[in-house]
Amino acid sequence: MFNIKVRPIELVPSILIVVVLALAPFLLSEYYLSILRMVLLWLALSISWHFFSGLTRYVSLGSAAFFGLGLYMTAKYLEQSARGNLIPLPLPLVILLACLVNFVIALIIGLTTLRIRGIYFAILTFGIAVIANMAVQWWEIRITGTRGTYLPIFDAKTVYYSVLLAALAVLLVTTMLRRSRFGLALRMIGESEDTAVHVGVDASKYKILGFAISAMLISLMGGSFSIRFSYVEPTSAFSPDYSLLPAIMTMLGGTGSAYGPVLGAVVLSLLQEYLRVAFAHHFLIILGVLLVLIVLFMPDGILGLLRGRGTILRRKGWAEL
Amino acid sequence: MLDIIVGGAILGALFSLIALGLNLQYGVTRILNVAHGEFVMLGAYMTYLFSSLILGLNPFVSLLISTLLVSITGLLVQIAIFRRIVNISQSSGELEFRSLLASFGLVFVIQNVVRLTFGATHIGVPYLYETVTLLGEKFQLNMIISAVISVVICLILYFILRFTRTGQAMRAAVEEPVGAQLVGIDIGRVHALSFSLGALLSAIAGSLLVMIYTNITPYIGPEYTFIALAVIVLGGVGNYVGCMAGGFLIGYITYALFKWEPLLRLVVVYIVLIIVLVIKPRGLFGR
Amino acid sequence: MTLNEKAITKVQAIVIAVVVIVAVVAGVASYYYYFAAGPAPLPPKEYVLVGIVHSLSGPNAPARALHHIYYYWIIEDYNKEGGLYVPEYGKKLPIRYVEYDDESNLEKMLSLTEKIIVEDKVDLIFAPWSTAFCFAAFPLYERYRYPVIALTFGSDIAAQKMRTGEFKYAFSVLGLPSETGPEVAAVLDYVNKNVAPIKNVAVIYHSDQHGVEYSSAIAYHVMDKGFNVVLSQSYPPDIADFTPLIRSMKDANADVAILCGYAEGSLFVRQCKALGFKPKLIFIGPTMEVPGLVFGPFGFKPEDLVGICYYDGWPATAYKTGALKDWAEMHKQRAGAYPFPASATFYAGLQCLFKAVEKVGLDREKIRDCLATETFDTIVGKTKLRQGYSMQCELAGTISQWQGGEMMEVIWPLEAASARPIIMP
Repeated sequence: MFNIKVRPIELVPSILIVVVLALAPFLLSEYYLSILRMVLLWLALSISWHFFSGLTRYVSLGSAAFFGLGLYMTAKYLEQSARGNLIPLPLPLVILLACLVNFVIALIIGLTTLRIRGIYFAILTFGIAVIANMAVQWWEIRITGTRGTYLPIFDAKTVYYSVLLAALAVLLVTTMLRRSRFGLALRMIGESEDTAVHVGVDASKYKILGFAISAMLISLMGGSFSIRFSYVEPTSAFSPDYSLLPAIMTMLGGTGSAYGPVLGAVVLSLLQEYLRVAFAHHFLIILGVLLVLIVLFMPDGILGLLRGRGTILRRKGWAEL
Repeated sequence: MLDIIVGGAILGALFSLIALGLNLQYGVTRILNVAHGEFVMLGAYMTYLFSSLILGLNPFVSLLISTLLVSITGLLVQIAIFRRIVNISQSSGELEFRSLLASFGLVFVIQNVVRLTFGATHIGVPYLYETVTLLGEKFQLNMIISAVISVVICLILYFILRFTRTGQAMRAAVEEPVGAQLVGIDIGRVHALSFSLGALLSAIAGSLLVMIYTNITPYIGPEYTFIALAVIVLGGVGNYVGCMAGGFLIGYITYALFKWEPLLRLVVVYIVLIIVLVIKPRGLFGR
Repeated sequence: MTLNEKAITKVQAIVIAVVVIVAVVAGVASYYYYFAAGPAPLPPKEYVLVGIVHSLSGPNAPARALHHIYYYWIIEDYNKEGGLYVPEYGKKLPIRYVEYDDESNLEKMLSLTEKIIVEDKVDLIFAPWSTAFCFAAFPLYERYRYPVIALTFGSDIAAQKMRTGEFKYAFSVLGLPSETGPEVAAVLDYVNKNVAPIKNVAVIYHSDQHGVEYSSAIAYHVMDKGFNVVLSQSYPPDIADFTPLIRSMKDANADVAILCGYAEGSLFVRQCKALGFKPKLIFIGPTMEVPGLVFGPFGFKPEDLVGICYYDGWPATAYKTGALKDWAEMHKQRAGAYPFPASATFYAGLQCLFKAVEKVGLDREKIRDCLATETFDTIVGKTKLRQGYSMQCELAGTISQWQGGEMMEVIWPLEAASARPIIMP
């Protein structure tokens, strides 16, 4: 199932990029480092989202649930271990624990909800994100009586490397899986689920596993990002942005290929940052208008635009990335 | 107990009204307009504009003006945006995804235009706030009136759908889109009409809301969209009776939660939605 | 697949790698050259730059719009007089500000705050809205050493850290839960003994940090004085209908209703009246008044509000005499409504900051020390900021009440009161 294909020609540029990113804290000021960190975060989230929703066409709007749970669980553990209520563990282990919990939760959710398709699945997953948000808030207010989580303070380099390593892990895992039979199965489900089943693909197994892996990766990003805060509330951790933006970014880049989410994430996150700074009062309107325009005039995303021109890019193999 | 019966019914009437609009529009066009709740909010703000800010009109007069303006807005939105999405989409999956994203963009735009124009502070047009005593329990007069108006409008809609040619055309488009075109129904007109009707019903609800509640903000839209969605899922898409029943059911659930655990009211509604979707995807009353 | 897969792969891979590298490098580089918003490269100082990151949109926006109006006012007022006097330059410099929207999102507030510090290099910072946001930002202020006066802030947990010196650069203005609780209880006690008997108290609270802390502090001290807390229920921020809660209060025979929340208080009051719930006292949290909502064409009339108290007008002023009276009239002209009890306090807090600058200049360490130790002349008289406690103002009390006028009376403590506490008719 996990038959892996790695193309040697991609290794050199990839290693170069990784080296540059690893040296970034020594080259950039803190503000620009945080911008780079943000871009990496959205990149990884979009790729994780695309891994399941892009390939299988089951549009999930529930990413915020897993991101938030990953973030909040990690934060809570750090808080409690700092107070002596839990045994202190190294950060990567804490994040890993949160990921495993999220994997299990996503399996359960997938088992119940992946029978539903189309718009209802989107609504359902969005509802799950809302439920997660409200449930955690309710728990805090009613059960523990606290509000928010207080984390120990980490320095900017640690936060950056945490996000970077998590993003690289996401990239690695999704690429390997996508180019294996697993990815092929997901893609077949996306093209035509009934045909796939006819051909003998166990659609349920692949869907549920794919959903759970995607959710786990999203929660990995959440956990790695948690240390950015010294104080965090559920509303910030479960912000609907984390559900909507990966989908929007993927659409902007182009859903047909794995580079779509990468392109879309880089472009949109930088654009947002620029607009927010340049037009403090109006940028949300600008973003909304842009979104509508993109859907109307560029529905296949940037890559879709490019795909129309140039012979190299028009090959069918493009979708195989 | 009487307060629950009446209170739940009041909420239920409003929810049914809002949900009917979305039901009609989704049933006919199969496009989910996530910005539906924003029309409710727009209706509220237009009434506020003409009653509190300028002109000082009677809120019910403002209601009429606001409804007209918002319906036109709904029409424009359909023509400018959703019609084009239908034309360029090659599969229903594409159509759904794209219209979802476009309507999210619309939400950002409408919310923030209103916020920039009217400010973000809470507004309200408290009207007819007197106390009314019904069987020993006290109620807000305007809540009762709103509930009555909502039900009346729903009934009027029923008659339109049942007995007028336009209404029948719409019902045909819901049940049998291809067949409807074959018998000569102008599908484009029906689509546009369904959007305006949806916006119209929302605007009426919004105008009533701004009279009852004084904490209306530009952000009340999404909650009503989700409630409308839940009602439609419960009742079955395109199902009029199911919609009314679902609306009242959700109204009662919400009211009960307000009483016992207000923090969880959205959660419970969503859980109900999920359960229904998983067990009976066509809705409790669907065929 | 009939095409030469390897050939396609090689070219595509190279193109992609190049595009990504170029994008990253170009993105970073262009930020250096084009995207750094804010002022152009600075010559020797021509103005004082204030940085404001707060919620212009999102759920926080409504209340923020109300409370932070004084940010703009104080800048305008000083600029009208020529600017802020900065000793190092020996003259008044005009004040400019950069303002960003955190969209009611904590994470964005933090990164934007970092931006105004590191990128825009602001001289002074005005705090974001709400206790939670201020609290989250305090570590940033500590790290970069910016003294900030947090107006919309009231949390004992955070204040504790201010007292221990963990947050040296944060200053608060409003009464903290641990201070407010005893005050409210004292008022109830006074009313019980001197005006009308009170036994049962109902508390409902907004589900955020403010609501949670204030409600529990008030409930605790109220019980301490011997009253019954018959209801303690939280409600979500977007509550639309208080009817069920009000009915519960009625059923529990509450004599006093306390709402720890914000502008939804006005809806609460309206619905109480509509449902015939007539407690002896109602306490509301920060700012029920919204211009137009309270005294607009469809708003309350002063008679409707008699007896309603604010616990968060703390420190509260009565706007009855002298400079405060003029300020209140000016407020009405400028904002369209009379000030709420804490309005002058907010403004005074900001005045302290500016006066500190006028005294010691733009060195932030000196500003911080000045704020922590000095007493300033503001519109509420002699004012002293006490880290980890409320601001001490000469002319202010702590609890205020509507008594039929267009502005509220201060009813507690009795020494500072402009009127005695009364109950609702």
